[in-house]
Amino acid sequence: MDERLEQWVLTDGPRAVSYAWSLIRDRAVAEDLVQDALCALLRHRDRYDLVQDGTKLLFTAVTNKCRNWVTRRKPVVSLDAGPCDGTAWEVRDNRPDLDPAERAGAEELSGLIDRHLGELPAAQREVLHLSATGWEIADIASTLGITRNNARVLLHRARKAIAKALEPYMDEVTE
Amino acid sequence: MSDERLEKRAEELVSEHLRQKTASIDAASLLAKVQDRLDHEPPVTSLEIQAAPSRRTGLWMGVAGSVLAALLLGTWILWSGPEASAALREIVRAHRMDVDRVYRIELAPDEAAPLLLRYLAKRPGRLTTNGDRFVVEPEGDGRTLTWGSEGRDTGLWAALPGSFGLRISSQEAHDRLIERLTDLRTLDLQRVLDSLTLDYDLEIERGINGVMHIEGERRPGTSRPYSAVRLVTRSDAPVVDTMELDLERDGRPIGTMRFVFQEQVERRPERYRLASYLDPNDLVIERTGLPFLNALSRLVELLSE
Repeated sequence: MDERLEQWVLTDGPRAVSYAWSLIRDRAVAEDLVQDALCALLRHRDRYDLVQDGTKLLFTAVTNKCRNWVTRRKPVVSLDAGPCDGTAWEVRDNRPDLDPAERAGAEELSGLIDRHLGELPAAQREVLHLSATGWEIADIASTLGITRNNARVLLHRARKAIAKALEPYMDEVTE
Repeated sequence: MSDERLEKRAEELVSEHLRQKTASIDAASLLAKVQDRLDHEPPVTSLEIQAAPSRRTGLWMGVAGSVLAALLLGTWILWSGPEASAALREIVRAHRMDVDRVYRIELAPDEAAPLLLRYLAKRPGRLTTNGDRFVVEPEGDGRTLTWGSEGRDTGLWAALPGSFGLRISSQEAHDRLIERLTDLRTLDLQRVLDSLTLDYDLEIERGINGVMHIEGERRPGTSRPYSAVRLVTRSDAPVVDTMELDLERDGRPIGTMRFVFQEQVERRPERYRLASYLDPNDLVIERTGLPFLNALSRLVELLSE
């Protein structure tokens, strides 16, 4: 693998894992699916310009793999049913300027965001995750195989739902 | 705080949360695992060589047979994936040209086939397509349903001339009810072609007079509703002559759909519009709600007859 492709994996790989986790709520499976998608694309790197188009190809492949995984798992767990038991992914807030109370508050908020994201319908979660990580609507729509209008509607609903869920904590955060 | 500010602030919090989550992933370890998997896979120099060793004897017999067939019939199998992919890109490019093409639809539904497949199988139809626009007009007399799309971003429509028209937005087209009725997107040849390069392993066989056969087999882990696609085209005019899809639902085969090129016709954008198939007084139902569901139920009834 040449240096540019390595850089692509280092940049997009973790983003894709975080995205896959948002969709299926199981970190180990998310990492496996992203590895599968990366290997599949790299195996055929002579077909694609991965440096140029790799991000969209990877996220499209990861979306399909996650949807597929959820479909196969449906009798056991629904993607819309929130986090799977025992697979929560807690993130430590390592900002050095936080005192212990602030750190505890930030981590509590992080857990709440995770929980409320998990309660969104899967399609809204896909769109919100990509939007919140800087994707444009046109790219979100083409990556997810939906129309731009549909992406806008899903994003609007997701933002509204998450804002409503976080509203009680918002004043604290913005103060 | 206003709703707009609240939503903006909430998305900022989500954004920061996801940034922290992404930062907590060990990128170097992920790269090492991917590199390790790639290093320990058999080398991929051709589509056939990806097969497991136990299949090799059979494959080499296939190769010998193909070489013999090539000598006798003037055909030759091209091995490389990139070449198949390049040929397909040409076809995709040609299919995007602003030209109205007519295909005959042939259907061989299995027992598990959904209603539309069985409906279309009983009433031979023709597909006219231009890029991502299409219209399916069942042949024969009497009141028949016509389906179509004015483009990928505009969803689908259905018309029962002299009665009503129904617009199904892309969002509604994802609804379970409609999904259960049929996967109408299969009729969008542009969408099928676009998916081939990404989600299918391709083989190409080049025959005499520039005829090319391209076969795509769905890669594991992808969610396309067709398990295999076979295309016949010509290198001198990269137009899809025939396309055959092996259709699947919930992992079970439900039949085969075949599109056979008939002719190129005069370009008429209005043929892809719902209004062209309705009488002036016909009702057009555009949104969800009771009228939409009633109309949908009526469609289901019609398709069940």
